[in-house]
Amino acid sequence: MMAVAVCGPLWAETIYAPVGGYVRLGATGEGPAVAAGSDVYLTLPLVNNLALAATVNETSEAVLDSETGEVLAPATIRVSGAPTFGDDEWASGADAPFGATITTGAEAGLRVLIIPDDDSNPDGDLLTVEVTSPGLLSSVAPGERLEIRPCWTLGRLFEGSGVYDNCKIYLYEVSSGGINKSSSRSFIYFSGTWYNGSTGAVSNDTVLHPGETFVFRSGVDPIEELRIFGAIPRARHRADLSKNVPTDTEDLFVSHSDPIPVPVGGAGGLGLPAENNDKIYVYDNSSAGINKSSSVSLIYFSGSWYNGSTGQNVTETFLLEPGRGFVLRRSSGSDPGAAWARDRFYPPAAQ
Amino acid sequence: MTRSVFPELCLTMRKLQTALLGLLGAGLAHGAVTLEFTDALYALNNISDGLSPGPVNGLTWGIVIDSEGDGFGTSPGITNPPDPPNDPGYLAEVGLTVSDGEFFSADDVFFYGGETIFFIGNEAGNGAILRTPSLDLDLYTGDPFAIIWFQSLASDDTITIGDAYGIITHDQFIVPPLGDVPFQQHFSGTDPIRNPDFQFLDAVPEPSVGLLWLVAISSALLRRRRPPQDRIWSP
Repeated sequence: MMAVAVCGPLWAETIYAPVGGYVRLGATGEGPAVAAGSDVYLTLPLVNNLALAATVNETSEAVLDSETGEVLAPATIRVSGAPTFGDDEWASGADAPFGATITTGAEAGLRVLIIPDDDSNPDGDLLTVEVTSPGLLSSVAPGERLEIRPCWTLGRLFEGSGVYDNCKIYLYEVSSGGINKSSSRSFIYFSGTWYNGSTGAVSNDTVLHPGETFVFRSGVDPIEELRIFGAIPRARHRADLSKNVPTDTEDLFVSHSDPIPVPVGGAGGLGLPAENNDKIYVYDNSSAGINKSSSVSLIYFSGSWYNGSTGQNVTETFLLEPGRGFVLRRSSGSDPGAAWARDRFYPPAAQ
Repeated sequence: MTRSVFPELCLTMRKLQTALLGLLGAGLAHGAVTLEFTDALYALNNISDGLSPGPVNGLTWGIVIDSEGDGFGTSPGITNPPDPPNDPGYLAEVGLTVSDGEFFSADDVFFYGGETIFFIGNEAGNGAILRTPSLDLDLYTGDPFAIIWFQSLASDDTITIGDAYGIITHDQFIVPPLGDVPFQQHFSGTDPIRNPDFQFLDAVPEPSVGLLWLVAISSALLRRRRPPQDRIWSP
């Protein structure tokens, strides 16, 4: 087990990083991780290595303009122990961006992105943040624990992997209703840098969020290995399942974030707040081709998940592999504001 | 043998066209599709064996794509349910198999869908048609399709004259470009019993048979159009 000693002021402490390792992304089994000219549906099964563990002293929600929704004052977290953070220490520079996750209490699993403040003064104990998961920051009680880690970004995630020129990544952030959506943003890799496919802007620091499904597209050659190295996530998994158009049937690009296979339902399962006729689409990352349709669909009805092709009840038998993103198709009648919060159920061997 | 070669020529040209388009399209963006006909709320079921009183599970089904937009085979006005029952039926080349890419007539291509099964949901029941596998239908995007199921044929079986099948379509049954696309909303409510009321015929009738039919039809038309002599010549 790796031990990371953080010495210095009183707020710091010795941190023992949890068990980590790597997860192979893309195809399972033998053969290349990504076939030539093919899409794979990915997600993040590991978190980045721990940078700081701390205790929450105080939180405040963002103040928004009631008409425009513009942020008038950002959300903040004050950390106990009188730390002396420099100006935007966690929010800018070569190592940024960083994120923080609440790991204890009722709001465990709440995630924030640490963002720059609007001054050049030392930040002291104050973190300026943007909430990136469901949950109420103002409900985080003093004394709850907090972990700060580097965010997974395009640049960090595939650093040292076999990615080559003209590989692409597609993100599907929720911005519209409907099904079979086109991507909201695309990125192209060229000579060590990821560029925005629409603007051409350098995008290595684009954040990939836990619980998000994204598509990686190879170029003319296969990629033999595509691995993510990191630590096992411990905090509660949270993901936003709200619909943009409440009455629409809507596709959401979500996933679990465990580094182990998770049953779709039952004890230790996904724990999705599913409603009748919600569906999950799973994609075969081993097959060649782009713009794939799903290889397996699952349909939720009356407390159980059924295979959409065979009709079999697969609630406790269908496993969603780690690092393999899926699409949740929420039915037109499902709760438009649902959120997903799930505790981890690791077997003893992974503790 | 004086059998007409025109249908075979059309079939061969169509297959060649498909192959060439496949090669030309290799570098273009593609998309696979999965067509859905049943979920937890809507179901296409009651697919029934005509010889049995009730719905039957395990019948092979698939889709037929009308790639030229000229209708499905020679069966006029396929409706849901087929009207009239025992319609002359859909032409198929005798000797073809129930397998992906087979042209059931000169321009209508078949793709395997699955087997009818029992399914869950408040509309569920026996003889349900759920969803196709992931299919590469780029060549047919925008073309009408129909659902077809067979009374006794299984995947890869050879089609013979007299094999029974059922077929239904809808004006919204159009091959989409990509994705998991729902069509089950067209099957809300109680489904009627849908029997395999059609039979495969020989796609290429022998000239002698065709000639007999031509004579018979011509005679019938002439008989109807001939003026009633007794009335014309009556005083």
